[in-house]
Amino acid sequence: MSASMIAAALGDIDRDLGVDTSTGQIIFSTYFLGLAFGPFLVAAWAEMGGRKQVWMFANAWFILWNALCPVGHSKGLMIVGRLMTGLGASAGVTVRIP
Amino acid sequence: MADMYREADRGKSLAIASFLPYLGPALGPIVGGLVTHSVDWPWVFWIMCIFNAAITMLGLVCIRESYTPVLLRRKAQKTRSSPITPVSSRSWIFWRDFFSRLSGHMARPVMLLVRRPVIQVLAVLLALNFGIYTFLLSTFATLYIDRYGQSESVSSLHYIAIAIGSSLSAQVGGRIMDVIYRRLRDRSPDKQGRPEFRVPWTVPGVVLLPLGLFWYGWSAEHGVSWVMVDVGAAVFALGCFITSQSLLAYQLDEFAEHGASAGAATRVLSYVFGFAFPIFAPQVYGRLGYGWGNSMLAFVWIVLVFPVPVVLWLWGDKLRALGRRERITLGSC
Repeated sequence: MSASMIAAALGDIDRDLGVDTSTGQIIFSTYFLGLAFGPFLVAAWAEMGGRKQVWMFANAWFILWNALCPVGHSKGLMIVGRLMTGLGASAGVTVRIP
Repeated sequence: MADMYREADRGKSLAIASFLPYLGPALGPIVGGLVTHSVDWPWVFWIMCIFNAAITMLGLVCIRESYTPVLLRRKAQKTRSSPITPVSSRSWIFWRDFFSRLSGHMARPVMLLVRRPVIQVLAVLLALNFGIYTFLLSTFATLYIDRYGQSESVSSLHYIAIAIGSSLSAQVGGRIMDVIYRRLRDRSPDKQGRPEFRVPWTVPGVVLLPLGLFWYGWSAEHGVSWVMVDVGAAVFALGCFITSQSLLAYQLDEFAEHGASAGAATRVLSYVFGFAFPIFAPQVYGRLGYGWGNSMLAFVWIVLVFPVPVVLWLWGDKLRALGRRERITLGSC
């Protein structure tokens, strides 16, 4: 859900951050990059420390970075934030689904 | 979940487990659009944070650790009476073990990707599917904002069309897939189920996806009423989710005990495509327009994916066998 919730806002985000449409698309899709590579860390940690621990930490990570994304209207922070948010969100998929 | 439900009910189990994840990508933009229109866009992020914080609080209280090996380990630590000192986390032995266990876990999905051609095929198909989906998802709202002059909140309501397509596939399609599987199984000479019995259900998915793309693209190109555009998007979503549903069931049937690793292996490529495809969407639509842009995607799909149901039906078992390491069972000596 958090992947695409900014879809309608992309125009506004592009304008406020002073970026072109392509960079706006990168902001949208970097989230998926986080989802791609998060599971490697999440799965390993879950095997070793248990699922609840990972899930809690990953959620906290998600909340932190998702909150930082719009801060300062900074392009760099937004993209890094989206990547980190994706990493955190991947726990939801990795830990729950068989 | 692979252990809880037999193969004949796989569609139903996938439907139950996936109701929300299927709806999510479609509902997200609706909420986002409403918030952007009424308040500032940063609040889209912050509302998501608040929502997630609520879920986390709930989980803190309600979720119990369920993973058996960890529970056993913790129990052993509590009841251990012998003076074995636990290895300090600062010592290099701890980290050496940690990293060897870490790499062991990361190894299986990678090994599957490397050794098993069927995983490679499934990964590419699912990735193409997901890539085109995110391509559309990222531009659907802006289509309505730029071309039809709608506001952010109204434009995001159109994602309901996608939600309809995906929900139909999850709820109705899952059951149809199971019925087909059971019929084919009962008709087979040895009454055994095979993953190939999932393949007939890939056909509607593989066909509807490009059909939806053509419908959606050309309706948008000619500025036809939004109803037509949305119907096209719904047809596309239906095709997209039926395709992934049937292919994932095929994958789960084949890799039952290693379902999680197989899923991880194919998901990585899907998300990488999901990252890459939206990036070139503006150029594609800019140069080709909505009509030819979507048609191009549809043609790529037709060329690469149309042969797949036939190939899997005829040679699926041979493909699945490639790279499979047969278990050596020790008989009585």
